[in-house]
Amino acid sequence: MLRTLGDHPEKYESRSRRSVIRALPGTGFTGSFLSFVYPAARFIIPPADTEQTAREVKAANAADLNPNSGLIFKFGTRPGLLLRTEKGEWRAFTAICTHLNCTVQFRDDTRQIWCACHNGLFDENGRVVGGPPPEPLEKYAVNIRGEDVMVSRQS
Amino acid sequence: MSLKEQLKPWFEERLGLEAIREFIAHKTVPVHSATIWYYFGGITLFLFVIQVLTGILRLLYYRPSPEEAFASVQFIMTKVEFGWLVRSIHSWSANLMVLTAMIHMFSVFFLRAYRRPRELTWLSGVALLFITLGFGFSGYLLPWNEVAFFATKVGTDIAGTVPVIGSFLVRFLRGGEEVGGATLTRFFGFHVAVLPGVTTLLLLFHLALVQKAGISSPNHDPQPR
Repeated sequence: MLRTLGDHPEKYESRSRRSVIRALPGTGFTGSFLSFVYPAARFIIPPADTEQTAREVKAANAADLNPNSGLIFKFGTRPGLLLRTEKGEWRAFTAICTHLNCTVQFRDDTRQIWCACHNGLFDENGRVVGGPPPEPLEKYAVNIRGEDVMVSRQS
Repeated sequence: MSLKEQLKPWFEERLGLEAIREFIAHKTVPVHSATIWYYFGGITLFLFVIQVLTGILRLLYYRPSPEEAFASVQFIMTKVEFGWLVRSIHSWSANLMVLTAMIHMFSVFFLRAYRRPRELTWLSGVALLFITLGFGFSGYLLPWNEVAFFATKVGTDIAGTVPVIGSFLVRFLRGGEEVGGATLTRFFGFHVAVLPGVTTLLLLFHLALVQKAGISSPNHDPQPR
C-alpha cells in the first residue's frame, strides 16, 4: 500500500490566517538564508591587512656580510637589499627600482646600487645619482640583535 | 495584466516548468522511505554541496605553494572575516561526509537495495565513496604543516607496497621521489579540479539512476533471472 507524502487537506478556515501561516516559514527561510550569505559575503571582502608582508624580518647573520658588500633578502613577498658600507655601517632598502620595478644590486667596484635593466644608479643612501629612476629607494631600519641583522619598515 | 502574469506564459512556453511541477507534485514515494536509513544519501549530498561552497570560498585566499601554503591558511584563520568559520565548516563537513557516506553504504547493503536492477547505482556509489576518501587524503596535505606532511609521506608510502606498479604509483602521487612542493601542487590539483569534476559526473549518473529505478523496498524480491 503506497501513501503519498504531501497529501494535505486543502480546506483552511480563513484566507487571512492562511496567509499568515504561509508567511511564517518564509521568514524563517529568509532568516536562515541570510545567516548563510552574510558570513560568506564578509569572507569575500578582502581584509584591511591584505598582504602577509612582515613588518620585521631577519635579513641575514651579521657574519654573512663583509664591509663593502650587499645581499638580497626576502622582505615579506618583496625583495630587499641589505648592504654594508666600507666603514661597516649597515643599511637596508627596498630592492625594487623606482623606475620599472627591476631588482637592484650592490656593486662593490663602484660602491653604488645599480639597476641592471636601464643602468639606474643610486648611492649608498638610496639617492638617485644617475639613469632613469625618478625617486630614491625606500629606506628600511636596520637593527643588530646579537648575531641577527633585523630589518624593519621605518615609521 | 501584471508583469508576472505576462512573463509566466513566456517562460512556460520555453522552459516547460509546468511539467516539472506536475511531476514533483504527484511523485509517489514508498512510505518506508521516511525511515532514518533512507536519509543518509541525501545528507551526504547536502554535505558535498557544503564542501563545494566553502571550498570555493577558501580558494580565494589559499595559495598552493610550499612557501605560502601554511601562511595563507594562517591568514584565513586570523585575518579574513569568518575565515575560521568557513575553514572549520569545511573540515567538519569533510569528516561528517565520510561518516554519512559510510552509513549510506551500510544502509544500502543491509536493506539489500543493491539488487537488480540497481547494481549500477551501487557500483557508482562505491566509486563515489572512494573518491570521497581521495578528497580527504588530498585535502589533508594542503595546510602544509608537519602532521600533513608526514601523513602524506606515510600514505603515499603505502601505495608503494602495491606489487609491480608500486614505485610508479608513489612517483605519480608525489610528483617526484619525495613529498615536496611538487606533491603539494599536485594534490591541490586533484583536490580542487580532478576529483570535483569526476564526482559531479558520477553523482549525476548515480542520482539519475535513483530517479529511474525509484526507491527500493527490502521486502520486494526482484524477479529471478
